[in-house]
Amino acid sequence: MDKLTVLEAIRDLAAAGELSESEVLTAAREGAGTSGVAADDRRNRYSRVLFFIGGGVICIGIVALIGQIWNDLGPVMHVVVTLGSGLAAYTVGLLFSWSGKAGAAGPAFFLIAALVLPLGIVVAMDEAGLDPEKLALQSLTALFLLGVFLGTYLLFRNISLLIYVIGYGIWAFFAITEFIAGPSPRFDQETFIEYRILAVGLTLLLLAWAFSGTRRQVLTEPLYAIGSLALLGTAMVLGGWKPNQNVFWELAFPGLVFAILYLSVHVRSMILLAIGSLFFGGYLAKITGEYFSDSLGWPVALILLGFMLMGVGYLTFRLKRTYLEE
Amino acid sequence: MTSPRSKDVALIIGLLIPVAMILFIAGAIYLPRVFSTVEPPEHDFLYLVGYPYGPERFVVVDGHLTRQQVEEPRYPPPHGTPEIQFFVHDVATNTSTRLNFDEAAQLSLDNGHLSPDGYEIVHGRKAEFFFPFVSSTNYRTRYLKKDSRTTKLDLAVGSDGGYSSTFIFLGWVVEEAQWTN
Repeated sequence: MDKLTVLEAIRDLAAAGELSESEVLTAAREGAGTSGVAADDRRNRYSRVLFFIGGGVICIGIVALIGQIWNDLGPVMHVVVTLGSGLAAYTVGLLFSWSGKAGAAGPAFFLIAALVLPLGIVVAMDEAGLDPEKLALQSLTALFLLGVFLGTYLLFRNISLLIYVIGYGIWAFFAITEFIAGPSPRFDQETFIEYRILAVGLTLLLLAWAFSGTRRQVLTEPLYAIGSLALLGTAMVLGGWKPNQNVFWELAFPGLVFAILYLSVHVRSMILLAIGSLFFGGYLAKITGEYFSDSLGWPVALILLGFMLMGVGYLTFRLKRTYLEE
Repeated sequence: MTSPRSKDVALIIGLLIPVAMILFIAGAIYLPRVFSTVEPPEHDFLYLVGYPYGPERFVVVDGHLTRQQVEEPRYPPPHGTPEIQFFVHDVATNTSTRLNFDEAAQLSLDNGHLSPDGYEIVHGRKAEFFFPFVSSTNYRTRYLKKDSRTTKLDLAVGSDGGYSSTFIFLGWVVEEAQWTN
């Protein structure tokens, strides 16, 4: 059977709704795993990991070296060794990526640039007499770096660049919202932070969904993990504790957990299933302690909680066996 | 929901959430000043600035400021400690006027936490460290706050550390005083 016939068959099955995108990807990956492509892919992966570990170690070395000689350097050299290092790393990353012959060396230098450039910009501002802690400057720095790395990603389509784009995006979001809110006590400090983390969690979950089944698939599971942790963690904290509980969030929380569990089955994600189940258990423990420990007493409440946690464990096991281990 | 179109929609919604939240926060901060249904504050308040632990203490008794002598402090006040100063803050113009003790003592005061029209004096916020994920109380800023309405107070309090920036609230002015005539 030639390739065109297979692709035609896939189109027909997909049009009839009998074949999903993830099934095709899984089959393609399983097939690739039996050939020499897998060995090449594995070697490339190790090579990439070593490049990135090397990039991280270089960053630590740069920071340590700068720390050792900092007091001996003048203001101009402070800028040169920090911002200069970042710009040099970014330029090398650009050149390596452009030539396309250096493997993962280009992205590894982008890693160095992504870590050192913010430090360089802060040092440059400080030496210029500006206060880099000011939220307006922080917002501009984060937006500038976001723009630079987004532009670089659009140029080379390297997935690791997306990580920095997301990181700088989160920084920009927090800096801008903090700048707009200013010192006004209009928002309660803790609630303000919690709602922003909730929004970031929701965004990361949607990004994970958007990346699934694409070239950016590798980011999906980490984004699902961080997004669901942020979403469920803050939703639980927003629920509060009796007598200062927030009834809306206490009632909405099970809905969110079931949405995450449903999503875990839909996208076949073990990490979402694990996080959803853990938070469901945590919620049951919280509600038991909050509302039933006084009326039933702690011993009975603990027995009930134990049975409920066993129920959650069984539910998780069944979901995993039925939907995730086909 | 697995079509490329649904993923594009998810991407767009995901990117719009932070933008919408930024707009919401901006609206919540700036629009109440224009559209707020909360009545502006009506009650002025009396406060003192300076070293409050000297031989004289100032407290509100039966709605009036009184001076109480206490035992001479064991430790003398720090060198350069500013004298006690009384101010009445006009909430309509957001300005403070200095009074002497006799003038301040003529005011009828309510030293409750909330003003008779429901306002309270609260501190502002500030971001901590370079990364604005953590914010804390900014003890150098004070606001009048009631529900969604907040007004930054321009008080006659020093901005540097020390007792010249020590603010002590004494009470809300609940009756027109003689000294204003």
